Amino acid sequence: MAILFSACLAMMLLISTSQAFEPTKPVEMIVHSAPGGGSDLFGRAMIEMLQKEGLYTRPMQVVNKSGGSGAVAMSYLAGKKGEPHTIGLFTSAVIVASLTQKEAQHTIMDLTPVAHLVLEPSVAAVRADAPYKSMRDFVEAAKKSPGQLKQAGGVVTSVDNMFRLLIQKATGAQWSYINLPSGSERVANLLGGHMDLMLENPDKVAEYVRAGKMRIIAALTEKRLVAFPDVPTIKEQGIDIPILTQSRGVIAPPGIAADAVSYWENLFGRLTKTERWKKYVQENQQETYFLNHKELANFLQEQTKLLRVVLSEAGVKVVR
Amino acid sequence: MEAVQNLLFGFSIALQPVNLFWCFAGVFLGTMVGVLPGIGPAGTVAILLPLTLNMRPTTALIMLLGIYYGAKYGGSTTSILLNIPGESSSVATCLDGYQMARKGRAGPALGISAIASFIAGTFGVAALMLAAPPLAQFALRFAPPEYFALMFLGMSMVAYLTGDSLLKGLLSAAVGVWLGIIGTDLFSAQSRYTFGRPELLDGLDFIVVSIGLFSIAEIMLNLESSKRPELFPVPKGLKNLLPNRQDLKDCRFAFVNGSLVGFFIGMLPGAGATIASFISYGIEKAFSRHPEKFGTGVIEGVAAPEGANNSDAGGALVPLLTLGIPGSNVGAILLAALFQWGLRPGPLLIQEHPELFWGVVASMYVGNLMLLVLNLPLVPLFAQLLRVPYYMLYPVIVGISIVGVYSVNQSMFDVWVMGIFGLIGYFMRKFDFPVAPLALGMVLGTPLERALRQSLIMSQGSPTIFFNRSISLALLLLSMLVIAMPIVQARRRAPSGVTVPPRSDLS
Amino acid sequence: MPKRFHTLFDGDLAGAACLLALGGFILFKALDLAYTSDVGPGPGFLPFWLGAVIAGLSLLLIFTAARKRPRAVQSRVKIRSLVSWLAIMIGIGLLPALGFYVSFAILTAFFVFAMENRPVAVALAVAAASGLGFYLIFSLALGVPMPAGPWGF
Repeated sequence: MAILFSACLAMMLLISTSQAFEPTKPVEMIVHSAPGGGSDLFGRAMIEMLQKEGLYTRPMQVVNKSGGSGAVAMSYLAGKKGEPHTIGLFTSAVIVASLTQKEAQHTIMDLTPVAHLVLEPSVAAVRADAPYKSMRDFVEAAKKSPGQLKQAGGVVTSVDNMFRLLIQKATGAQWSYINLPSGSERVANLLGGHMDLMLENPDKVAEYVRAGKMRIIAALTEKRLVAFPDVPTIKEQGIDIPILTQSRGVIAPPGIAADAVSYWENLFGRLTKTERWKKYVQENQQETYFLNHKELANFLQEQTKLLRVVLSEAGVKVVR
Repeated sequence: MEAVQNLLFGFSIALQPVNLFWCFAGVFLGTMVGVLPGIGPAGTVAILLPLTLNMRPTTALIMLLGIYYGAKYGGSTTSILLNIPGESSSVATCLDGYQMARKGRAGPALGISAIASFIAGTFGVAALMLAAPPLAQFALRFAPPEYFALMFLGMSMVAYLTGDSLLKGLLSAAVGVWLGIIGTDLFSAQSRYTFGRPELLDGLDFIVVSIGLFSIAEIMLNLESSKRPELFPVPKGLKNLLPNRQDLKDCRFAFVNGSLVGFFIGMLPGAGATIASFISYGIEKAFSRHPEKFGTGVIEGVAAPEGANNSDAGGALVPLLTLGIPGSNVGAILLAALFQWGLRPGPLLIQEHPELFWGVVASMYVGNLMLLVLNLPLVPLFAQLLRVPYYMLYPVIVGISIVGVYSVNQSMFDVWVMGIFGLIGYFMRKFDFPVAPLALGMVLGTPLERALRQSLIMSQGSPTIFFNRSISLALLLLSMLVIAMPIVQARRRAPSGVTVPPRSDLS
Repeated sequence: MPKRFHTLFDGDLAGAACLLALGGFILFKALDLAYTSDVGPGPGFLPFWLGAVIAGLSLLLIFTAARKRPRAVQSRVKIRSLVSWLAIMIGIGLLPALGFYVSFAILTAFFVFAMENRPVAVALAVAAASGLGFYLIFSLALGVPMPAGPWGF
């Protein structure tokens, strides 16, 4: 009887603890970039904000699992099945990679979506002394000499290339796309006058605009950017294309309990409402776009559907 | 005289006690991080970044930069003593540094690397101070065709890195290029030679392969017989533990070469310290009067790459501080740090925050001096490490290699790769295939292919793009000269070579 | 018979044979990749030529090696070296299961005891001392992450 009673008590305790998950161990935040990469910096900044705001004061550290645009990090997270003390960050590049890499044993679709946090818009930038005042000007110039103008961009699956293909399809213009692995090289080639156009996050070009070295000719967004209210959006310029954005958010290993998912979802939800967060997002010219666990799952579904189409049109082999 | 005024202004900032203290903390930590393989400056700077948020930006930047260039001083230590490259930019140092240690000249090797680092590091800062904006404009003239020509020049150094057989050297380099291209192709997003492994999507890590090829293979060679002669004779007396006057004289050209090559390549965001160290090693050998002795422990072979990888730090700051363009991982972190401190890194940074630029420049003079003072006394200390009997030392070398490789990406896969390359390195040594061309091929292969394809997209398929641009043409002509030189030298030497026996090192 | 043994370890010939196989493999795999793209060389361009060059040069090496065969340099591959390599690989294999410290201690003890013929006590002492040194420097002072075993280290 006593045994039965204590067993019942233990079960009740189990249930009650499982209703409110609280981390009891140091938490690992898995990022898929090396120190200094985008996700790495984003992760470290978030941990700092969480601690400064007093939202999360126990140990939480960034763990770099770089490799294969997230393939290694996704595998690592998948291997932590059921472990609520491990979370990870994802970006749009990870979603794209899940569709194009046949080597990846695990992709983001195998993991537990937690929360979508921010969207990073893109802008089209040219050198300040270039003759193009708008994206329309650039498109017209490209039409006059097909293939002569050059865009400095990233890997073929990056959002820059997708935008190029969409704009080319919508307008019939043609220009070339030169893949440069780092943002540094893209900026250097544009400033050096070797290339004519670059699509970047606004925070990466803002300083060059302020210094009079670059000009933004279009915002690739639905609405005008707060930081550049005079720059018309691409749609305002009569080029009607679907708007792609770069996402950032949080995921967790597969098979973790519902209360742990809602714990992390709530924690990051609360973070996005703080002043410190708002200031950070504004400084980095990002836009808060919070989606919870369920909404993020739908979002990922829709994104992959859209990306499959766009990627195939770009000539990239889709394997999933 | 504006520069002098500015520099005095800079020193008035750098010599404030708080800045001096953090500068020392930075270079000290950097030295430690550099000495131990695997944990690199990028990771350390990233970890320490949150701690600096309450400091003044100039102070924080002085410290973080101290870690960056301090690590370059330390990187040569394990390369020379144990044949474990501490950072990928110290792989070239293994080639002659470790051989010097085996001849009982570990002390002079460590000493010269500190001295070369000091000279080249100081040169880098001086160039940064005097001419950063025009130099940055020059660096901007480098587009893919110029990179192609530069990498081609680097590749032509293979001619100098082969041992007795040119054929084997070329084969080794070709395999290196192949190892370099493993991974995802930037242009098509297709994976190449990944054997279905997701870990290979980003390619093989150069430092992981190098530690296998150099340190594991070396252990296997040393273990061939249980009765070994003493591996590392360590001479007694402090005098033999530091470079002597002759050593310094031998390194005169290496100091200049390392300083210039390192700084120049450091300025280019698409190249880096590893490439710089190999190219300066190649140049050193090409212009040497005894090229055949390279790889057997000549002191210039240590001074040139070590100098290059330090003056690279000054070069890398040119685009970072004048244009906000980072050239490396560390640069990217520092850029983010500047943002967090509320500064706006970009073309206006120097103008709007002169105290930051001049304070940092002045602190680098101070930091380099501190590093020299810190590192030279460490030389005799480190050299004593080789007094440890080899049977105790080599398990430790295996341990350090494993920890070093594992900590790069915290990946077991990398540790296996290191092990496999240990075996490959052993057979290469046994079959007399030179390892240096393989390393060079692996470092330069991918940038070379990339630049070729980028250039041809730019020119819509026409190869004339390489010849009607002046910098690219000049570099290509230089590579032709580099390739032709051994042939010319061999011709010139042939008649006299019969009568004159090989010169000895002592002459 | 002994002659065959020697040719097997003729460094040029053995190396060239391996490289010929590698070159063939690279070439064969390069055929799956596009040689050209609509904008210049494709992903298969360099691999194709690399494979061809490696295969061609190793054939050349085989011919030159065969020509100077009588005075070919004999490379002796030593069993001891291969055993030490195997030990390292087994040590690496134990890492995920036993963690760094235990596997490293086993590996060190094996080296000192079996490869160097030192007494067991010396082997254990070296293993313990170097393990402690690693702990102090890498784990305690620097906090470098190590592969951990079930017991947390």
